[in-house]
Amino acid sequence: MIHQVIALIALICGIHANNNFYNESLSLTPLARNNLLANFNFEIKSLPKHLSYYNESNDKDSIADASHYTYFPRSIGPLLEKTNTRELHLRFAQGWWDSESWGSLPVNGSKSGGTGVEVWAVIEAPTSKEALKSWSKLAVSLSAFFCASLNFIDESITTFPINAFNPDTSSFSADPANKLFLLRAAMPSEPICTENLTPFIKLLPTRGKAGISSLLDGHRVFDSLWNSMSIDIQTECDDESEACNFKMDQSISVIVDVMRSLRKKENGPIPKPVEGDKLQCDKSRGYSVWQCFPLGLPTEITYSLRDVFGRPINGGPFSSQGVPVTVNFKAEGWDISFKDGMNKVVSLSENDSTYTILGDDEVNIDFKASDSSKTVGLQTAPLHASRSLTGYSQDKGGFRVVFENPGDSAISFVYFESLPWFIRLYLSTMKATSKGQTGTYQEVDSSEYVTLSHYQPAIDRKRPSHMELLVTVPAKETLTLHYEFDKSLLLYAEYPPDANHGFSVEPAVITVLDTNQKKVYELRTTSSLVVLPTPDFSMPYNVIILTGTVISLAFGSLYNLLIKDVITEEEFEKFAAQSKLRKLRAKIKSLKSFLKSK
Amino acid sequence: MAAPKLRSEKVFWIRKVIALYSIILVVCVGYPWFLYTTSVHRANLPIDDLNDAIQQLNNVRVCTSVFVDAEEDFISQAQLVLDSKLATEHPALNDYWSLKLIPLVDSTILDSREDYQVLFGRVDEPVGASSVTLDDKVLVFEKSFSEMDSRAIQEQLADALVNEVFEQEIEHFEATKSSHPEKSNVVIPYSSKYNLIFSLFVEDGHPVSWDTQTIQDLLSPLLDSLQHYANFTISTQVQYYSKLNIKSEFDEKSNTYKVKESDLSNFINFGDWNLNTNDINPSINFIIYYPSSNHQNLPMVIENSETNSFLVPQYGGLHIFNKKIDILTDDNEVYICDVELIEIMEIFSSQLFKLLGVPSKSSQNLPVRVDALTKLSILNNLQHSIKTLSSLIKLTNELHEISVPELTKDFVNKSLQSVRTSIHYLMSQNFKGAMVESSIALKNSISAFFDKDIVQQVYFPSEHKLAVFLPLLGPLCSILLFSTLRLIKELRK
Repeated sequence: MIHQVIALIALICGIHANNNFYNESLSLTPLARNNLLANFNFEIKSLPKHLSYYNESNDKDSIADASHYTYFPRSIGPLLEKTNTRELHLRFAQGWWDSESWGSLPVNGSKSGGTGVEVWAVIEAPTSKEALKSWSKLAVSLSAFFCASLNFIDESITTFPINAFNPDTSSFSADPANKLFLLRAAMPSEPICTENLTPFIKLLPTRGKAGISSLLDGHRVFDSLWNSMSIDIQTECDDESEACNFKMDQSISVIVDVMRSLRKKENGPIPKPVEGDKLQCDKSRGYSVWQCFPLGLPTEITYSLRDVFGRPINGGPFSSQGVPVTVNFKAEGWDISFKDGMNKVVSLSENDSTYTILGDDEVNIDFKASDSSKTVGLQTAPLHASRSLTGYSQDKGGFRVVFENPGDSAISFVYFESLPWFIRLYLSTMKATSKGQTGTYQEVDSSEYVTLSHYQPAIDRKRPSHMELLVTVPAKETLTLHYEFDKSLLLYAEYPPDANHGFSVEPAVITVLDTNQKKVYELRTTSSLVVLPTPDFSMPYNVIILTGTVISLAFGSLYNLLIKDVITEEEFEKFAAQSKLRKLRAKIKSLKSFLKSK
Repeated sequence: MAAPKLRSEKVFWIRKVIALYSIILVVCVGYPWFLYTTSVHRANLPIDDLNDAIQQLNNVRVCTSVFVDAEEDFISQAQLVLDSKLATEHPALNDYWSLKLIPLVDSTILDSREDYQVLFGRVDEPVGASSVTLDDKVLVFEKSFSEMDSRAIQEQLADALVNEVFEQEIEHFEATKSSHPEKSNVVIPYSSKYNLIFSLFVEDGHPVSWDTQTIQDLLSPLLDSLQHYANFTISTQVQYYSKLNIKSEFDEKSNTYKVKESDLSNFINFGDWNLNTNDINPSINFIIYYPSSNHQNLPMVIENSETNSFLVPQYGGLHIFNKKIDILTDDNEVYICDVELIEIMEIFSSQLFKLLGVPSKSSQNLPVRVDALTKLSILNNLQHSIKTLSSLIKLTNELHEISVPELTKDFVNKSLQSVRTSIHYLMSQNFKGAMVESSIALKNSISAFFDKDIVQQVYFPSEHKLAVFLPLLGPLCSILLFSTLRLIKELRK
C-alpha cells in the first residue's frame, strides 16, 4: 500500500515537473556570406553527494558511499572523484574564427577554444606535487575517454595560471587543510575529429538519439569553417546540507558554409567542376565562351536544417521535456518556419524567435531568404589579436603579436602565453610599436602599455615558460609587441616521428577585463608552427660505424708497429729470398732452364 | 728454417711482452667490462623461498572447529565417529579437510555468526524423531541427552555435520583435490575490490526514477558479511534511449512480448549502451531493463524464465522490469518503488553469489555459505599466487635476455611473505585473516609478473647489441686474433 502511495506522490510530482538536472538549447544565427552559426548547449547536473577527499593509500569504500547517477554520466563522475578534481574544462577546436567579418565569439568566447585541445582543472591537493600527480592521472583517464593524446600531458607542458582563467565561482575543497591548484595544458597539434565527438555525445543522457544532439553528425560538424566543443564541469555546494553536485555544461559551436553544404547535397562529397552552361557569370563585365567573371554569392537562397546537418531534430530530449530553439534573424530578409512530422508549420517572427520542440516527432526548420545578406550579425569583437612568427634562421626567431582595439574606449586584458622549453624567450628583446589614429607606426615604450604581471622562465624538460602580461590598448589604437627567442636542440629520442613538420606552439589566451577586473571576453590567437633544427636520424649509426673504423685503423697500425719488426728493403729482400715461394719460383726457373737446355 | 735474427734478443722479447700484455688486457679487463656494461640487471629471485612455500601449501590442512555443548567423553567418542564417517564417505579428503569437535565451555564468548556450535535442546517435550535446526552457525538438536543413547546422537551429529552443514564445502574441497579440478566459467576471477554497478536502462525517453537508497539498504547486510572477502563499491545509473539489438515477438495468446532464449546472448547492446567503466577493478553489472512496452501496459517476458532475468557469465545479470500497476499517462515520471525493487534485488543477490562463486544451496544459510567461499578462495588465491610466481621464475630462467628489476624481487618477497602468513592463519583457523593475506599475496604476485621492464626487454634482442658493436669490435678482435696466432707460432720456434 505504501509504495502505491509513494508512486502516487511521485505521479503527482512528476506531472510537468521541470527537469532540473538536464536542459538543452539550440540557437541558430545566419551570418553574412551565407554562413550559419549553430550553438548547441547542454546542461547536466549530478545528484548531490557529500564532498570527500580521495586518498589512494586509503582506498576502501563503505557501502554508504554509493554514488548514484541519473542524467550526469557515470563514466566521468568517478574519474573526477578519484583525482579530486573540483573543476574541469576541456576545449576541442578547429578552424579560424574570422572576428573581423563574424564579430565576437559566441558566449563572449568563454566556451571557445584555440586550435587543438586545451584542458584546465582545479584540483584539490595538499601540495603541488600531489596536484601534479592527480593531474597526470586525470589526463591519462581523459585521453582514454576522449580518444585524444592527452596522455602526453606532463610537467613539461603544464602551467599554473595566475590571472588568466580566473574561475568565475570560488571552488570548494573537502578538506580545509588542502589547497586548490589550477593547472592547465594545451596540445595544439591535436587533430579534432569524429573520435572526439562520439564520446562527447555519449556523455549526454540523450546520447544523440533525441533532442538537438540528434543533429550532431561528425561528417557535418567537422566539415565546417570553424568548430569548437567545450566541456565545463564545476562543483556546486550547498552550505546548509553540505552536499555538493557537479554541474556540467557541454557546448558545441559551428559555423557552417551553407553553400558548400548545398553543393555537397547535390554533388556528393567529391567536388565536380561546374558545367559551362551552368556557370554563373557576371554579364556586365567581359563575358564570352572563354571568359567568365563569377557572380558574387547568391542572396536569394532556400535551405533547411536537414540540408545543413544531414538530419532533422529528433523531437524533444525526453517525453515530457521540450527544447527551445532560437533563430536570430532579420525579418526583412528572412522567413523562418518550423515543420514537424504532421507537417504543421510554425513561422517565427523577429520578436518571438524561439520555438520549443516537444514530443517525439521529427522537426525540420526551413530557412527562406529573399536577401541573405541582411543578418542580425554578431557584436563586434572588443579586440582583434593575431600572433605570427618572424625570422627565418634555424637557431632563432621571434613572435610578433598585434592587438587592435576597434572600440571607442581603452581596453585592458591579460595576455597569457606558455611556450615549450625548447623555445628560449628573451624578454629583454621586447619592443612595442603603436599605430594611433594618425595611421603611422611608431616605436613606443612598452612599459607604457604593458605591465608584466608574471613571468616564469622555462626549465629544460621540466617546465614550460609561462608569461602573463597585463596590457592596455587605448581606443582605436593598434599595439604590436615583438620579442625574440632562441631555438634549442633536442635530444635524439625527443624528436617526434614527423620532426620535419615542425613543432606547434599553443595559442596565446587573451582575457579581456572590464574596469572591475572581471572577465568580459576571451579569445585565443592561432597556434604557430616553429621549425627546429632537425638532425639526420641515421646519424648515430653512421657515427658508430665511422668511429669504429677509425679506431680500429688507428689501433691496428699502432699495434702492428709495436709488435712487428721494422726492416729496410734490403733486409726484406734477404728475408724474401728465403721464403718458400721464392724457393719454389727458383726451382721452377731452374727446371725451365734445364728443359730449355735440353 | 729459422729466419735470421736482425734485432737484439731484448727487443724481440719486449715486443712479445707487449703483445701478451694487450691480449691479457683485452681478455681480463676488456671482455668482462664489455659483459658488465651490456648486461641487463637481473635480481636474484628467492627460488628456495618459493619452493618452501609450495611445500607448505601442499601440506596445508584445513581444520574447522565445532564447539559442542557436551561432556568431554561424549565429544571424544563423537570425534571418532565423525572421523570414520569422513574417511569412509569422503576418502579423497584424507585429512586435507577435517572437523574438530571442542567442548563448549562458555557460550557467551562465541558469536553465532562466527563460530560453529552444536547445542542440545533442553526442551522437555519428547515429541517425534529428533529434529535438527540450523540457525546461523548454531546447530540445535531439539532432543536432550537422556532420551537417546549417546551412540545414536553421535551418529546423528556426524551425519548432520557432514551431510548438512558442511556438505557443499566438502563437495568443493573434494573437487579441488581431484586430478582435474573443474573450472567454473561463471565465476569472476578474484579481486580484492569489485564495482557493483546497478543500471536502469530505459528503452525510450520516458523519465523513470527509482529508489536507490533501497538498493543500498538491501545490499548492505549481504556485503557486510563479505567484508573480509573483498571491498565492494556500489554505484547506480539511469540510461535512456537504450534500444535493443534484437526483436521481441508479440505473443497474442499470452498478450506479452516474448524474448527468445536464443536471443539472450545479443540482448545487451554493448556497442550502444554506455556500459564501459574506466576502472582497473572488475565491475559486476546488474541491469534492469525497462522496455517501452510498459507504457502499453504489456509485459516483456523472457522465454522459460520464472524471474524474467538471466545471468551473463563473468559479467553480471539482467532483469526485464514490467510495471505491475498500469501506468496512467505518458507524461509522468515513472517510479520504481521499494517493494518492486526488493523482488529484483533478490534475483540480483543470488546472481551476485553465483558470480562470486559462493556455494549455492538454498537450505544452507548465509554465514555457512560465506564461510565455505572464504576457505575455498583462500586456497584458490594461494594456489594462483604460487602458480604466478613459479611462472615468473620459469620465465626468467628460460629467457636470459630479460631484465629482472629489484621491484619485481620486492613484490615476489612480499607475495611469499603473505603466502606464509596466510597459510599460518589458515592452520590456526583465522580464516578472515588468511583471506585478507591471500588477496594481498595474489595482488603482489600479479604485480611482480606484469612489471613493464620485464616485458620491455624481451623486444631488445642480442642481435641488436651485436649490430651496434660489430663495427668496432670486429676489426679490433681480428687484429688481435691474428697477432696472437703469430705470437704462438713464433714462440713455438
